[in-house]
Amino acid sequence: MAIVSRQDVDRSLEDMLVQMRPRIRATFARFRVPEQDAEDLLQQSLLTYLHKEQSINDPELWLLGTLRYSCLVYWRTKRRSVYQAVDRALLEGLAQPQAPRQDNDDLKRDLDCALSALPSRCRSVLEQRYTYGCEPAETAKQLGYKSSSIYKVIERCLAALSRQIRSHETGKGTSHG
Amino acid sequence: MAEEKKTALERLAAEVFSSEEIEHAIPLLFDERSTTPDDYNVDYVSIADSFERQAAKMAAQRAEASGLIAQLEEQTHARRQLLVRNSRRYRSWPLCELVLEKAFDLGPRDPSVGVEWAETGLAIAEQLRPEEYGDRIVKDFQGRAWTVLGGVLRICSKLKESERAFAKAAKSLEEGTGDPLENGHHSRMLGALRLDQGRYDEACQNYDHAIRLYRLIGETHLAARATIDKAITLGESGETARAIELTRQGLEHIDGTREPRMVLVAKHNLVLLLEENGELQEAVAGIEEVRRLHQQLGNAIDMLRLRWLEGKLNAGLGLHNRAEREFQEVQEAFVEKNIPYDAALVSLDIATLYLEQGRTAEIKRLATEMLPIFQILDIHREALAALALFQKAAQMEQVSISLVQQLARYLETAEGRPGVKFEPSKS
Repeated sequence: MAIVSRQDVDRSLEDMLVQMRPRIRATFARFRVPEQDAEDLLQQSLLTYLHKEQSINDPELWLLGTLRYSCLVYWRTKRRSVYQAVDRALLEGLAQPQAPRQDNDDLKRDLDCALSALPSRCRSVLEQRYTYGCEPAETAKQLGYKSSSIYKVIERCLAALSRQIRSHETGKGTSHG
Repeated sequence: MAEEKKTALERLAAEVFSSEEIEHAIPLLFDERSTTPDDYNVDYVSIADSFERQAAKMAAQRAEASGLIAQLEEQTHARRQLLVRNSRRYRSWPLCELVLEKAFDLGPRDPSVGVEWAETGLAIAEQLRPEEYGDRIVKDFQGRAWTVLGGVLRICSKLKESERAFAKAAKSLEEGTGDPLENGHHSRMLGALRLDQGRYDEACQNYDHAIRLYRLIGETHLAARATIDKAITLGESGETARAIELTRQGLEHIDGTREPRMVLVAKHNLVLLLEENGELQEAVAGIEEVRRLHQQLGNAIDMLRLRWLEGKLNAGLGLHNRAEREFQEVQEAFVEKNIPYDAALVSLDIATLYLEQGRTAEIKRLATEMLPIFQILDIHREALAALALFQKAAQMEQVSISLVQQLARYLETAEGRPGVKFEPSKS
């Protein structure tokens, strides 16, 4: 895409937005951001633009790129909230003695089965975190990971565990079907 | 309850944590409905109207900021800090922006003054009111202030303080607007710190991240600049051929009208890398243009570096006497200007020349003369120990090209890293 100088795009915000409208809408549609949230993302990006326009070389390219990046960050934040919910659910599920015994046993059996199929390094991470209930920093220390990267390591191990559970569930479904 | 947990886990199984799938998988988890551009009925005209009113207010604040920075320039650092912390009129984002630009510009020329201005910028950023500008914008400015401070602290060789500043910058930016430009600057400047720390792989990762962000917003010039920075990192880590490739890539997209000096830096580096890679004819072919750029844009130190580069090329071409004269002239100038690491590196170029000609007695004399000079210059203890080792090897007539190369590589990376020792290999 060709670089356009500031002078070439030095026109009113309204002109710019109207002209960019199809591309803005296509960006939100591509990322499937809910309409209300999309408007918030656009407003935030415009506010940022007004504060930083002196250092922005090409407003159109900046705005489109920033919107794309904002959409990614939007979903990344959602992802983190899912991760936190599952992290909490696992900790509660495995640690609470007052949880209904049958449910707890089922979950534990599924987890044990899925865990045993994981690489040993990944298994150790999840055991430290969920079986022994270590905090992420403590898990990192015990297993020799950097504390800065332990959250990513746990996320990856959880994802691997989830894939295992899913394939286990699918397998059960197939065998019964 | 267990069913809910299983459902959550099954959701995770849908590659929730795979960044490749993030665009598609996560939206599906939260909203099964697909969307089309027609689903977004934002009223662009009224949004633009409200922002244009705000823009007029901001233009007025910008105009006021140039007067405020002029007032700050008249004060001492301590007084400036006091003023920006206690007076409401200095709590302005355009002023913060101007002060940080000043700190950034001063950094390479006068690093300690650059640090002071970066601290002033940070003090202003910390006083900005979220209720006036928005929480995320304020976090962006705080992130920028910490980034600039980290950058100038790095230039001052205060690597630990710089590390802390960059960590604070990352935290603020994480809570900010997510502006790719701001985050790109942070990654690029962090890359420079990683390079100084000798953490080459991480430096390259930071530059790659910056390049991706700059490209995302169409900043091809800044992406090219970060590519050239990455090439410098690869050159220092010994990956010369890849460094040449990236420097050429960077040069294709650098906007010389926007930053002419960057063209000079990249072209100079390219000739140097070609010489180091043994591509002498190509290096010689490029030197004329580098000379012309130095004459147009270079300062006194740049001219010395040009002379040094010419010496290297002449040495490669077998013009030993000419190369020796050029190296000696540059070495004396670096000593005079108290640029000890480069002076030591030129001395090693002279030593290589002597070695190639079998002038053992002159290597001994050079080594004997070098040590006392560097003892009085600002050079750290481990680097001095390395030079002492070189002197000892010279006395024992055991200096080899390999030793000189290892010592040169060490000195290239030792500046600003006092803890790093020279450990020559046995080969």
